[in-house]
Amino acid sequence: MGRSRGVGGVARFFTKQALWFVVLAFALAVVDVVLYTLVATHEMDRNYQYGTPATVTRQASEQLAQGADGAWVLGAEAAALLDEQGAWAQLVDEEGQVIWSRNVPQAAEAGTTDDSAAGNDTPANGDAAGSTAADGTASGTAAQGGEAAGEANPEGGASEPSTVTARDPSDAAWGTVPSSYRLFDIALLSHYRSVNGFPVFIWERDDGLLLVGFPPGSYETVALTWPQETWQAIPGYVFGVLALDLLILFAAYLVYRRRTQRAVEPIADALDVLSRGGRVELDLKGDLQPIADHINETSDVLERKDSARELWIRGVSHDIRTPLSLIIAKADGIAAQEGLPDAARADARAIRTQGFKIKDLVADLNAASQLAFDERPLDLQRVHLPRLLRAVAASYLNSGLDATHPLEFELADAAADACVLGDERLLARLVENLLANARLHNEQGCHIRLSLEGASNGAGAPGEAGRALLHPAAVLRVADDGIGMGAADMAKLQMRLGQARLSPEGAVPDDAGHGLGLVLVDRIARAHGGELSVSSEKGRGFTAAVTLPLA
Amino acid sequence: MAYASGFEPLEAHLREKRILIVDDEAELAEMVRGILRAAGFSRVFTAGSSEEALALVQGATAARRGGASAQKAPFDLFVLDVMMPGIDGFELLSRLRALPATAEVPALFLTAKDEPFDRVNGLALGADDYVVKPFLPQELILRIAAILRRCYADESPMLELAFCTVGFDTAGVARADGTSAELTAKEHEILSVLARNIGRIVTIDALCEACWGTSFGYENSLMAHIRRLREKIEENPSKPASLVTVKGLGYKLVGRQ
Repeated sequence: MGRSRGVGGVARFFTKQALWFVVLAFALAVVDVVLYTLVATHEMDRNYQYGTPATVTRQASEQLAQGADGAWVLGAEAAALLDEQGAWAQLVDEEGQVIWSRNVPQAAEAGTTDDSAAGNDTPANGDAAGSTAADGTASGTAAQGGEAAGEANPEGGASEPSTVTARDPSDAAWGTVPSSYRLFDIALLSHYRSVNGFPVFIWERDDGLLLVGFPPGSYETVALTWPQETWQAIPGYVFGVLALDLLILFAAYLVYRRRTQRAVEPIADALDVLSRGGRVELDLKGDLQPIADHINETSDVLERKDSARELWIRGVSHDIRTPLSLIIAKADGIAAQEGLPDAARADARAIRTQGFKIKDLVADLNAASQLAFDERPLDLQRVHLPRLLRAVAASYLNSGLDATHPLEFELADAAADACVLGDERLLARLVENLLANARLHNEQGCHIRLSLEGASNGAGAPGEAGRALLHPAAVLRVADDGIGMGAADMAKLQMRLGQARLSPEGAVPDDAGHGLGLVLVDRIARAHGGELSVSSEKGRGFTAAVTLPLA
Repeated sequence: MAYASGFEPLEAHLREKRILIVDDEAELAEMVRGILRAAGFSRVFTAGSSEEALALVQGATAARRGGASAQKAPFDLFVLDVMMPGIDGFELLSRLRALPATAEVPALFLTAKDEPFDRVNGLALGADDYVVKPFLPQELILRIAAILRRCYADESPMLELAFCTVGFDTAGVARADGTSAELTAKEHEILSVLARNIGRIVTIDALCEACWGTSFGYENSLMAHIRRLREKIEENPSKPASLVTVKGLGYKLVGRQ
């Protein structure tokens, strides 16, 4: 019972965990989406702020104008912005000719640091002056471009298409800026957004294209051209990947859960054993070892308490015996003295009887203490029931108890060799208790009949609990012809037995009118896999039957 | 204080047996002495501790040294408590067993403990029997008488029954009608066991164990032997007066009234 409750609890615990995981996964997904959106928005915003290539290019275009004299003038603010970025600019007309340029680097292979510095300085100064001869600069740049190209092809000019723009750092044109562009170059340029290694931004104007080139390595353009279906499928992919992530996470969670469950299972089992008063010795590897240590410690503490209590009970029952010996023997002596008044001798007999009741109680207390925990292994051995019953009955008769309560023993042939696996002392205690019970409730005297019968498989004995017997069993019966019990008292007795069965340590209810006797009989019977059933009728005696499975 | 005597009167030779009671509870020791005296034992002594008991034994042995009875035991039976301060009953018995003068003296434990360990322990040490407190005087007297009858059987070879006298040394039965009979070895053994427990029921199982070493499979043999025994010792074997059957349990030997 306790076991299944424990497992159910564990299962519920983990189901709850799984629910929490699902909630967590959704929360994660939501947070991710929000974060991506925020990051994207933020980056987009940044792109349109001061100093971004787009802004620089836009401003440069806005502030570049052709004066009335045909000279190109760049506003000081835009010029400063370009310088700050280390960017160059070119205005390319519809024919592909550079009609204005600024800060265009000199040929890379020829230019030393000084050269390039000088090259940069001159137009910048010109800008600062507010006027630049667009043609001159343009032609100069073109000349330089021609020089650069001239190395690959002495023929020079704009007629060498392959040298104007390069896609590979090993090309000669790498690191230079052309002075004229062919349609082909413009197409590549606008595709790769770079000219010979310079990241280039383009601004479309009425009079041409403004190109702003930034230092190599400062920006990277990724141009993606995919089929329409691919673009349409992207959200699906994103969600698919997200779902797969979650699935992997969940699988990991399941594996982890299983491992935890497996790790926790021994703990749950151990606690279950503990709750039933047993002893546990847990050995867990890893993180759970401290818990196991605690449980083991608890088990030890409980065991120490139990054994202390048992020792105490044993000590008390031991110490009671000596004074009890004196009381019983002396009362017996007085009862036997013929010179004394009859009343005094009757009183002495009563004292002796009560002394024996105390003796039985002490014996019961010991047996109950031994039976306190179902876990405790009994001292099991093959017990020959007829032999045990004969010994108990002979001892009963030898002690003279049959003077007022004659005992009759009957052994059915079917049970002549009935053996059970059990604790011989406890089983003897069981029989003695049943005999004592009959005497206790019939002080005026009664006949007691002790019998042992065989019960074949499934048949049971009439009146026995309805449960079909799985094993061949023996039915041990003690019947008296005494005053018996009324239906109300029988109901009370049944209730008391039921309560004692449910109480974990066999605690006996206070109003134990029957003493420990029958409750103990029940406990001993159940400890041996058997059961006690009682039946009675007012004035027609009392019968107790104990069914014990045979070995 | 008078105590009830046993069901069966004590044989004369048993009354003279010297019994030493060792118990730290003086009152209990006195009471046991009272019980034994009332039962007819005339030489009962007490000791309050194991040390005192050992001193008594050694003193008695020393006093006899040089005399003809030097090797004779100072006591014929020990009644020992188990739980005593100092040397406990088990230890005392093993020490007594180590002394030549008391090595063979029977002992009975009077114990408040009834754990199986103690029974095994006590009997393994060579105790002849044990009685668990609290006990009825009857029980103690019968057990003591049974031990004494068994251990000193050679001193009382004659068993007086209703219709005959059995001589255990000769295995001969002298019947009241003047005829006689001889007991077989097994019959002798069975009758001895019953005689030791005269007045008490001996279960079939106990009889078989005593005579064959096991209680299983000899019940029919036992019945056959009992039948033949009755033919020898009873006046009317079909209506036994001495060797009576206790239905379903065993047999009881009844002495001459």
